[in-house]
Amino acid sequence: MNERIKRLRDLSINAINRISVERAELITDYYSQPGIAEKPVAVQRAQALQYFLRYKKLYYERGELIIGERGEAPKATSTYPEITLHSLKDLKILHNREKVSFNVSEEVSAVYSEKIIPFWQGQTNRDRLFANLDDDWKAAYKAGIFTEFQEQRAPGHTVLGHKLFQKGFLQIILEIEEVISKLSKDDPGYQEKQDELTGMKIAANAIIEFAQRNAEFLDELSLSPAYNEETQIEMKQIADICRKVPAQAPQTFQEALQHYWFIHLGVVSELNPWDSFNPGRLDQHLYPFYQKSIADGTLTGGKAIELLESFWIKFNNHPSPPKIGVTAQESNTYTDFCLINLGGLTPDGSDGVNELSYLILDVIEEMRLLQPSSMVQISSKSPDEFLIRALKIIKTGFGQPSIFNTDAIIQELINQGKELEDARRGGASGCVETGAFGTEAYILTGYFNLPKILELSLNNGFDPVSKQQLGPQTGKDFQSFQEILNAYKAQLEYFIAIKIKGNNIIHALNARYLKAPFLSLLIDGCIASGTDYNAGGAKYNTTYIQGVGLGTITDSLSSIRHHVFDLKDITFNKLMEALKADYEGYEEIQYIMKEKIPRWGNDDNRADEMAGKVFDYFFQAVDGKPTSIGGVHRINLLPTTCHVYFGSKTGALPEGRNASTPLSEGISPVQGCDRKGPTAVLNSMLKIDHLKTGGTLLNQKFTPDFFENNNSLKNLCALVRCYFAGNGHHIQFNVVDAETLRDAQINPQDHKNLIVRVAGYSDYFNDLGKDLQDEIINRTTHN
Amino acid sequence: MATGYIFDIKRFSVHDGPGIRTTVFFMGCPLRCKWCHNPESRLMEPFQYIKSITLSSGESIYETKTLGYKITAKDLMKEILEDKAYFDNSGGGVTFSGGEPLKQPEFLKECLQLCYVNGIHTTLDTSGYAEWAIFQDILNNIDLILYDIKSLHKHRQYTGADIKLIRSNLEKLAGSGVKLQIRIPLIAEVNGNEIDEFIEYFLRVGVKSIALLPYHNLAKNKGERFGLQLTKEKFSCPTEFLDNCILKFKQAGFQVSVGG
Repeated sequence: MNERIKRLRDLSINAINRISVERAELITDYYSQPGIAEKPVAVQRAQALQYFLRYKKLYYERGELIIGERGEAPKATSTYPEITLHSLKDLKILHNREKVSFNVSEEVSAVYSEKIIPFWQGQTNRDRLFANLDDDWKAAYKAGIFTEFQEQRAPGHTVLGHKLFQKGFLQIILEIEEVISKLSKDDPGYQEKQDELTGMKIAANAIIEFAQRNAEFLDELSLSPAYNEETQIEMKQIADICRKVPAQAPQTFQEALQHYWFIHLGVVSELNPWDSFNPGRLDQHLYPFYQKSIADGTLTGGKAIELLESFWIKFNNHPSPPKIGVTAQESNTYTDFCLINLGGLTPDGSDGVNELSYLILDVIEEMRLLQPSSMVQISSKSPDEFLIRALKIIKTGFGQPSIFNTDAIIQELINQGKELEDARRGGASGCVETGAFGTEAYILTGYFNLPKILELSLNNGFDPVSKQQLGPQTGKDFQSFQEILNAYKAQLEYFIAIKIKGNNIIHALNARYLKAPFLSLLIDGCIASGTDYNAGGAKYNTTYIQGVGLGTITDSLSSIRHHVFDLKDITFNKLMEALKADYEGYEEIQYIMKEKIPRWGNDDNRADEMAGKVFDYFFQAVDGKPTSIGGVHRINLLPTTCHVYFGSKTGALPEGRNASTPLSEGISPVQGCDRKGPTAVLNSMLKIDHLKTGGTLLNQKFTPDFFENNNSLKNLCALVRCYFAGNGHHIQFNVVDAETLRDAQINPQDHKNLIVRVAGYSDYFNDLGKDLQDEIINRTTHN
Repeated sequence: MATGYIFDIKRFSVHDGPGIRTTVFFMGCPLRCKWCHNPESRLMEPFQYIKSITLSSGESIYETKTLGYKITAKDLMKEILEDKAYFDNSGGGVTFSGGEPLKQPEFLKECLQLCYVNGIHTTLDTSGYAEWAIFQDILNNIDLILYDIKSLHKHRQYTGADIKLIRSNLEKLAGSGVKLQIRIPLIAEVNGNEIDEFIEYFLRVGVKSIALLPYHNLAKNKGERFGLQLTKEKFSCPTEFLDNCILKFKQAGFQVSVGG
């Protein structure tokens, strides 16, 4: 890393996460103008973005090669009062909370109190959603049966495809005008489409204008004596690039990066979409520019690395928008989940690993930043060399890059009805979510607490934690294990139906009120159909519900069958008494239920069969159910930090787990309960059908000394290849020993740079809550 | 169908032979090494012991546990085959260890045959203390032998068994064409003065692959747990000693690895 990058990286890392009130203020100013309410929503939304980009403060830091910040400076983080309005109390919490805090200045609080809160009170998207959702939904939500992604954020979760690297926004405007010119007044949707396309055109112009503003800003700034001549020349060069992209298609490597970055800023300024937008298959998109710029002598390998590192810092400057309440608990991190994909296949099905893939891996290793996150796509055609290079970075212990199975991703997408080429252009985003990049809106709607459903089933629909009858009465005097399974299935179907109904209400409201004309420019289908991204305009529209706690529910069912119905050494009533008492006074039963049961992750069919059943029930309840915006529901299995939140809402469970403790994460075994080594874990994991999901998440922990053996990388490589040959979707390795983590809990000041894999993303250990820290320590370590 | 006694099966074993392996620990051992890491393996048959369990309430309960179990070669094979894909992908396979696998020759022979039929790479981890006829009987189905030599002069003193048979077996194996790797537990007090002699001897026998296993005392509490009395003698493997051994073997032209 050269001096320039080192300095910028330090500035980024040391910048304080703080609330920027600028966006809230400008958006409020826009909406306060007379006559705005009469305009079509698409036009309002586009003009609001334009207003923000037109009047926001610009930022340049000496030495930067890529320009543009959403806030006034790195880590100055915007808020989105039109979606969720932070009260003064919320701001205080953000400011004071121990983990994932945001500094809130007095000035920010004052603007909120005098201007933002009075204007938006009762008028936010969140207010709108909660006014329309029914009581069953609210009760289940409050009880921790499911969460709702759109509660404080806009729908999103999509990734840029190749086309946007090949065209500029002037061309996009021409495309919009052509669609407008062909609209027929006989079309019953004529006016709506006309409005939508008008909004899109405004949004396209807004980003071009914003780049021009940056060019002028740099021109003017470069005259300042504060910069030496070399820097002044560099500033003028960047200004020239801003005059060109994103209006026109990029031609050089640097232009391509800057082009993308303006697009990124457009997306994250327009709304606060889950999970943040990213360039996806970066090595594929940039390779033509790289080859061209190297060939004409305007780029060297070293310069490419410097540019990429400058680009990396930009992501790190942008924390995820501040979250509060349940949203903060389900995803408690500064990370905004931009996941750079490397490797995989090209659209014609050949190996996609290229020179740039390796170069970007060098950048990832050298930058060692939480954002952007990164992954490698491994297909059966990827060379071992590529996987081993990735493993060598993983070995350094910061959880990146994670490892994905390209062949599985492609099959998952094809199973969902995507065209082969679209599938090959796809990948994973967020944590592990499968998507067709550039062509799909795949909206994540919330986590679903699979173990909690068992708690309700065992109690005839009554929730002992919130002390209310939440579910239907599905029976109590169970004579057979099958009766318990039947009750579980019925409760699951009941609550999934509530969740799906809620999703469709939310989709319909967002389609109407929360239009995203800028994002709609980027995903295939929206312009051609004259339909907003949030209204089902994309070529493919998928809505996900994410199951959490597969290990916990599997082991709970396994323990009941084993002891209550097979061995009959514990009666059902006795077990229920023990659960009710949270095992207090029943410690021997807890010991038996914890230690003497077949468990998930040990290649033991008695347990693995239970995972298969729960998976099938969940899949059947969700998969293919239509959405109100013309898409379908699908499942995936990942938790972010929600396994900790759901755990806090769930009482004692039959697998010996105490009330309020975390659930298992991803599809991983219950923490510390996989005792036959990683091959047995993987064999268990392959007993569910990953190809029916849109992503599963498996973490495995290894001690650093495991890697001291020369053959360890080769063995891990074989482990990955076998898992992927069996259609496993994703695997990640945490390389850290429990001793280091325990020491970090006691002496956090000595471990400021300790990064661990949480679940589909990495985070600073110090930024994690104590419960999550403990949960990671308790995961089984292989050595 | 042969049955045998084993006390553990360790999957994803990466230190006992090439690639990802499943290591099967046989019960019974003819040696009584004073530094033994697996004292429980000396028993020929399963044995019961009482284990104290502390419940989450702090209260203790006692549980009867059994160490070791009887298994047919066929059932053992079932578990081994679960990881065949990992063996194939990593160039791994099965390692028969113990204890001393050669103490259960019929069972071992059948296991090896089943591995051969299923195309699984086999490794035998042995002390070498067995009649030559037993070796001869199984040699065709073994891909690699990890052959332990503890000491040339103090073998009887520290293991209770004479080195003569072990040396003569090694010399015969070296001429048989089977792939061999010598494993030396490096213990300053036991073989600290024998390194030059080791080198001379292995050069003469014609084995060029050596694994040095530096002594560690992780097994300290293990004997107590199973109520087995181990020696009170102190053993060690100072880093300097280890480095010196590595250097000497390398200079003599050996291919040296440290650890399994």
